[in-house]
Amino acid sequence: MNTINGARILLECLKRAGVSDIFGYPGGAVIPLYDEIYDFEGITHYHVRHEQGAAHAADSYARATGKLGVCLATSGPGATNLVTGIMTAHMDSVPMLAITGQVALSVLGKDAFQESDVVGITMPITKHNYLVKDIKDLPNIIKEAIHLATSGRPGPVLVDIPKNIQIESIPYSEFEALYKVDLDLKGYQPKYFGHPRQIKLAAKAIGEAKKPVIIAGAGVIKSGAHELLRELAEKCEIPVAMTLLGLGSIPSLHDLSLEMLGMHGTVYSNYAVHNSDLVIGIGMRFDDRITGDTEQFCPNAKVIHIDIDPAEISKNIHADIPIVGDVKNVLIELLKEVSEKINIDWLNQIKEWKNEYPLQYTKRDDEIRPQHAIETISNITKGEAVIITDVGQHQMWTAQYYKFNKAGNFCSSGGAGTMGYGVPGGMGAQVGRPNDIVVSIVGDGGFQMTSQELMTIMQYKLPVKTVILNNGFLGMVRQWQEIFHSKRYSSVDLSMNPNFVKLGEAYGMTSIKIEKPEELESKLKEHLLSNEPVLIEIVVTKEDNVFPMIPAGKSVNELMGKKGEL
Amino acid sequence: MEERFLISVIAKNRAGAFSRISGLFTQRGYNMESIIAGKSEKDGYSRITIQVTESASNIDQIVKQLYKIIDVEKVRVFDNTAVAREHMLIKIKSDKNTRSDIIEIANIYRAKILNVTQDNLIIELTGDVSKIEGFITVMQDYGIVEIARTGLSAMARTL
Repeated sequence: MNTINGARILLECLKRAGVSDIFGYPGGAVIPLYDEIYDFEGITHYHVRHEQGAAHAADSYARATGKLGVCLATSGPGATNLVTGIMTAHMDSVPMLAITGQVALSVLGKDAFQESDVVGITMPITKHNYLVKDIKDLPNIIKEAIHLATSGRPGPVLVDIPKNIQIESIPYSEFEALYKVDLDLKGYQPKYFGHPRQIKLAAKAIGEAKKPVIIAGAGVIKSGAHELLRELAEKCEIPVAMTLLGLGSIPSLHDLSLEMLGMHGTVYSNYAVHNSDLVIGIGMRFDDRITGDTEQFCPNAKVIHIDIDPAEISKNIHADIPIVGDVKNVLIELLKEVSEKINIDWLNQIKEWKNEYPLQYTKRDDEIRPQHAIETISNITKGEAVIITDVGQHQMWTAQYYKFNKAGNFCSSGGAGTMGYGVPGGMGAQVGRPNDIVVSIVGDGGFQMTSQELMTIMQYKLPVKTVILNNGFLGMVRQWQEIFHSKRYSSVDLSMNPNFVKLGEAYGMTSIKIEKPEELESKLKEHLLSNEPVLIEIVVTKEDNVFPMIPAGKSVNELMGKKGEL
Repeated sequence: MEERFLISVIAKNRAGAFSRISGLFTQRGYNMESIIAGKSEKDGYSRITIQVTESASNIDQIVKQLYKIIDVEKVRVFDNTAVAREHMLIKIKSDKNTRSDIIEIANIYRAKILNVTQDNLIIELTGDVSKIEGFITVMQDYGIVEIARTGLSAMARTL
C-alpha cells in the first residue's frame, strides 16, 4: 500500500502552499523530518548555524518577498532559540511558520530529554499555535497554520510536531482525503473591506481638512497599497509621514514625503503631525515611538484610522473615524470618494519647516560620520537596494539617510527592537530576492550576536553585503546615557571588539575595512555592487548621536537636536 | 473609572483555548477576579465567564483582544440587568448544640444541607454575590472550615 509519513505530510503541505525555502537546524526530535528533507524535491533547506538565525532569516525573507517565511528547529533548546525571532515577527506582524519537533507523545509531559512546552512558551508571541497529537490532524493543521499566518493581520504561527507523528504513516489516499477537508474557522473572519459609510465620512473629513497629514505604516506595504497611497496623497495634496516600517510607502524624496515620523523622525514630519487638523493613520498602530506622550499627540486633529485589526482602533489614540479593512481595498474605495484638492498654505508651511530643519550633519575630513556612510550607500544603490538593519543608532541613521525609492525593500525589527536581526536578516532577504542588491547594515554590537550566520551566507554563496558601522560602542544606549545619565557610560564600551576583517576572513568572506572619508565612496562602490558576499567594516565617529530626538514619553515641544546637533 | 464587568465568551473547545483566554489577562495586565468554564449549549464549544474590574475603555479593548484569539467565536459583555449567579459549597463546624440554628439560617437563605456529620455540616448555596457573602458573614459565628466558590456565571435576560 502506498503510504506517507508525518514528516512527508508536512513537506507536501508546505510545497502545495508554495513554500520553496526553509531555514532550519536539525536535532534529535526532527531527525525523521530531516530524513525526508534529504531528498525532497521542490523545497530548499538552508542550514543555519543557530536557530535564532533561522527565525530571523525566515522573518526577513517574508518581509522582502511578501511570502510566508518558514523556520524549523528541534525540541527543547532548538525551539527556545527560535523564541526571540518569533517574538520579533509577532511585533511586526510578519507572516511566519515556525515548525518545531517535540518529544514522542509517549514521553510528553514526563520531562523527557530536550522536552519543553514550546506551545505554552510561544502562546503570547504567536498568532496561534498547535501541538499535533494525531497524524490525521496534521494536514489540516498545516493548512490552517499557513492560512492564519498569511491572512488578515499576518503573524507567526507555530506547529509543534512530536517525533512519533513524524514517523507514523497513513495511506496516501487518506492523506489526500484529509487534505481536502475545508478549514473550520468560524472564530476567524478578518474584515477585508471597509464600511462604506465610514469611507464616506473619511472622504468628507479629507475634503474639509486644511492641514491633513497621512501616517503610513507597514500595513501599506504589506497590503501592496503603496501606489494607491501615492495616488491619494497626490490627488488631495496630503503630505505623508512614515513609520519606521512604513518607509518606502512613498519615495523618500517625493515632494509630499515627510520621511520618518516619531522619536528620531524628521522635524518637519513631527511638526506636520503636531499641527495637523486631520491625521490619517494607514496600516499603522500609533506605537509609543511614534506618539510620545499620547496626551499631547496631534492635539488639534481629527483622526482617521485605517487598519485591518479592529483591536488597533482606539488602542493608543482615539480614532474619530475608524475604518477596519485591508488598506488596499479601503484606499480603492476612498479614492472614488475624494475629490482633487489643493492645500497650498499647508504645503507652503511644510516647505518652510523643511527648509529650516532639513536632516543634517556636517561631514568631517578626519573621520567618517555614520550619516555620511549611509548617505553614500544610498547614493551608490540609488535608493533601490534591499536594506536590512540591526537595532540601534545605525538603524535610525539608515531610516533617516537611506532614501528609499521603492516599497518592500526595508527589513528591520521595529516593534521588538531585536539586536542580532541584521546578519541573518540579510541572509533571508537575499534568499528571497536572489537578483537584487541586499545590504545588511549592522552595528558592532548587534553584529556579534548572530555573526555565526556569515558561515551560512558563505555556504550558500549569498551575495549579501554586511556593513558594520563600527563606533566601538553600544551607541544608542550610550546616547541615552550621555543625555539622560550624565555620561555615566555603564557597560556600553565595545573597544574590546574582535578584528572584524579577520573574523570575516576566517569564514572565507571577502572582508574590508574603511577608515578614511576619502576612500568611502570608491571602496563602497567596488564592493556593494559585486556579486559575492562581502563584509565591510566602516569605522565611524565614536560618540555620534542620532538627532533629531524626542525623548521617550515626551512631545514635539521637547524636540532635541533640530539642526542635527545639540 | 473602574467598574465590575461580566464577560461571556463562547470558544471552540480545543487544547489551549482556556489558557489563551486566561493568559490574555495576565499578558496585558487586566484585573481578572474570576473565570469559570464549562460546556455550552453548542457541541464542541465552551462558555467561559470572566469577571473583571476595569474601565469601560479597557473593556472595549479586552473584547477586541478576545476576538483575536482564533478559537473565540463570540464575546458578550453583560450590563447589570443580566442574571448573574454564583454557586458555593461551605463546610461549617457544628455539633448538637448549634446544628439546628445553622439549619434554620440555611433555610432562610434557601440553602441546602448536603452532608451532616457529628462535627460539621456541608451546605450548598446559589445566589448573587451579596447573598453568598452575606451567608458567609453569618456563618463566621459558627466557624467556617472550608469554602469552595465557583465564581460568577451569567446570562442576559434578552435573546
